[in-house]
Amino acid sequence: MARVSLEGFSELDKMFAKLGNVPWEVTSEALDKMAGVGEDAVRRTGRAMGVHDPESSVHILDKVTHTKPKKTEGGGFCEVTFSGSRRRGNTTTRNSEIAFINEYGKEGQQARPFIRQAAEQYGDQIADPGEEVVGDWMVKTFNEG
Amino acid sequence: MSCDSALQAALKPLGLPVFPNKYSGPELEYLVTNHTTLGAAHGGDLAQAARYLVQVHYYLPDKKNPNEMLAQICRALAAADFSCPDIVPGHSDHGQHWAIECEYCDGGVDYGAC
Repeated sequence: MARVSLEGFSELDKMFAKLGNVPWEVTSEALDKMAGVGEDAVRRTGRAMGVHDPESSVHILDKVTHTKPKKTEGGGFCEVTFSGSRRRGNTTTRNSEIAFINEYGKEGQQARPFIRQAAEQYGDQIADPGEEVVGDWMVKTFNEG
Repeated sequence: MSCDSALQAALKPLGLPVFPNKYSGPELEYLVTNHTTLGAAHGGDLAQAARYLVQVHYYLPDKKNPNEMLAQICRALAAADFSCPDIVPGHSDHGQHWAIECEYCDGGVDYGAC
């Protein structure tokens, strides 16, 4: 009589259990690196789409930055955002507001959806460093048993 | 049907003027559409389909309630094979500015090798 068997499920089961407990230091490093690539993607796409502030010599894309990773119940997140503000005549305008108007346009100004396009077009590249960090941790953890 | 034609066909019956890309005329309530085109379904060094990241901008005066028209726009887009829209609130110098974002896809594009 033929006998078919599968082995190794207990190790796989243990691995999945460990995956549910990725340490915050690992998650945080992965998020930070992913946000760094996201920043570059926003800059690159913005330049390609002609994003700028005609009333200032400081380029809006030089103000792209990302926040520190924040922990949530199921994981964490980083925000790619625009820091600071600038004087335009007698008013102070936040750089994020200028980015918003570039992204969505206004009356008489065509929208340049550079943030959305960056997220769509560079999604895989943004995910890569995260996969690498978590992958390295998995290999190390698995080898330690 | 091209993305622009599909947008016009879906939104014109709502009764608001629809303008591609930008508008700077006297209307107080109107729609402006724009889209980014991404190559998709690559094979044989060619994009076999195009994926469009679509924005529909709904401008209206401050005091008007936008909810009914926003719902109509979303229903019209969904019925015309656009993906389920997201709605982003904003403001312009002359009133409310709502951005409705969704996607559209069609095949048969010919970008050449890319």
